[in-house]
Amino acid sequence: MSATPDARALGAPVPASAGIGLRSAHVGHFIDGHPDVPWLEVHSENYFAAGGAAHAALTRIRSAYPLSFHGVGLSLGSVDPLDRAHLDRLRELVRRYDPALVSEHLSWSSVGGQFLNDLLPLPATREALEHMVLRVDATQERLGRRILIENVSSYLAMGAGEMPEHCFLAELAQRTGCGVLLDVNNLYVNECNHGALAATFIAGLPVGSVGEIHLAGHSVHDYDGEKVVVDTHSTRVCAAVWRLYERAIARFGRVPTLIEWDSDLPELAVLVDEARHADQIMEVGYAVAA
Amino acid sequence: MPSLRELQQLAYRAIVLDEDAPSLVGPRDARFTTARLGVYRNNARENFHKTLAVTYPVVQRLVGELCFRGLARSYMRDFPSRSGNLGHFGAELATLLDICYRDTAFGYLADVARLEWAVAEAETAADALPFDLLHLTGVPADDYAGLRFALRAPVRLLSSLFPVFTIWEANQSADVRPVALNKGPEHVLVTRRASGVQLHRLDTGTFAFARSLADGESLADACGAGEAATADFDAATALKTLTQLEVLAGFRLPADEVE
Repeated sequence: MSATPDARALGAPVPASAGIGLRSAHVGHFIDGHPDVPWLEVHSENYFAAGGAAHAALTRIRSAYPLSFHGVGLSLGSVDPLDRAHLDRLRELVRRYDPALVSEHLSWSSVGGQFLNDLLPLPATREALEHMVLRVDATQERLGRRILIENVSSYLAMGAGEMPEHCFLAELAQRTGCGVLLDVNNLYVNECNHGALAATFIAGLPVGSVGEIHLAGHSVHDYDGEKVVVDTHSTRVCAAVWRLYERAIARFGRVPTLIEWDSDLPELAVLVDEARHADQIMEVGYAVAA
Repeated sequence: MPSLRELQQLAYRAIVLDEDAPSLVGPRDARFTTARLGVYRNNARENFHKTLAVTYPVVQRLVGELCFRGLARSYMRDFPSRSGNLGHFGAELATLLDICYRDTAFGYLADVARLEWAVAEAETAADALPFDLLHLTGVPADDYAGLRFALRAPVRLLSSLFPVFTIWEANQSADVRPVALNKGPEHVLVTRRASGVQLHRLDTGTFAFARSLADGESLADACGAGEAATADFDAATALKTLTQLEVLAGFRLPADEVE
């Protein structure tokens, strides 16, 4: 079966099945062949340009696939003023493409107007929580819609947390109405790097708060003799992360799930195969005890 | 414990400027600080280097991988990213190259960088339909001199004392072809058509004509600029060339001028 504009009408919601992240090397497949993938996620900032080939391609793809827009540059956790121009550009994109999901990160990227263009972790403090509540409120108000906020991977806990991160995210969701984008690989990476138990995180998030799940691969690197697990999005999902995913599905039910792959990008068929595996887990997920 | 602002300032300086930051981390991770900061330092270096390398493949090839890595590191510190959209990063590489190499044998590098940035801008500029000269058929002949043309958004014009087009062209293929740097100035038109971004070398007169139109000057003034640049300038040929290269987007009649 192939995806067609008839089967996947504009404005259709992202189904509770496994999609993949659209990368430029695979764009041609989606324009020419309509591979059977239920939905696609793109990085919002990749479409911030006024025109060009990327927009032409996405316009065609949008007619056949539900989309999710995943931002990496809004720097919601930064103490810098919210970048209104960035937010307004995102608003224009959301109006143009009408994505079913819009998401950003529980992270910061800039200080003093200087950007690291990375997803740096926030300390789980009351100060950071109050700040994030204001920023998510402002973003949702400007976009006129609910967004999802993703937990990030971390290699160094900056600052001393005052609460578990899942409590931080749960309160953020409860107070702002945002959803959670649960990145299960990030939970695993953080468990390896910090000992923060991923299962505890999953068990602590309210049922109904999770609007999307991310799955990805990671790699182990040696920094000054110390092993660090890095969220590289460069390999297949590992067995331990699949087990955590089963646990998440058992708790949260069927949730739109994304296979992320950014570095050492393989053939599209590999990503589709990973997505099929996630779909199989969702099929039997309710039977797995959390 | 540092405030959120203090933490973010400490982290930025630790990652970009390699400063020590003992108060950055909580007690749980204190013993990991140096090694774990290495992940973020590496992420920043690789991310910014990769972004510059994608935008400036010719500069990278000219200076070599190792030197380009050094340039990228200097650029990250001296011209920090100012946006969450990495598409803006790298706009000032020519400035850094000017600082490093002006008045040296490598003075041409800055202009090559300017050309590659123009290519990057052309790739992502707003879409715009090309202009057909047939649209001029209804314009009274008396109005021709006062016409002002708009250029399509992806169009960029760049002039250099160095043969930048020849340098750029010579570095599009795998084999190395030497370029005589004393070849003289070159004028380049960058545009985007249906097939993608294209670069064209323009003669002195046509370039001056196009530059004048781009600056919003009238057709008469643009013709004057072309004639001032070269004695054998032919306005009809220049206008035809720019039309064929899909440079023009439209025009305004003198009567449309707002006082």
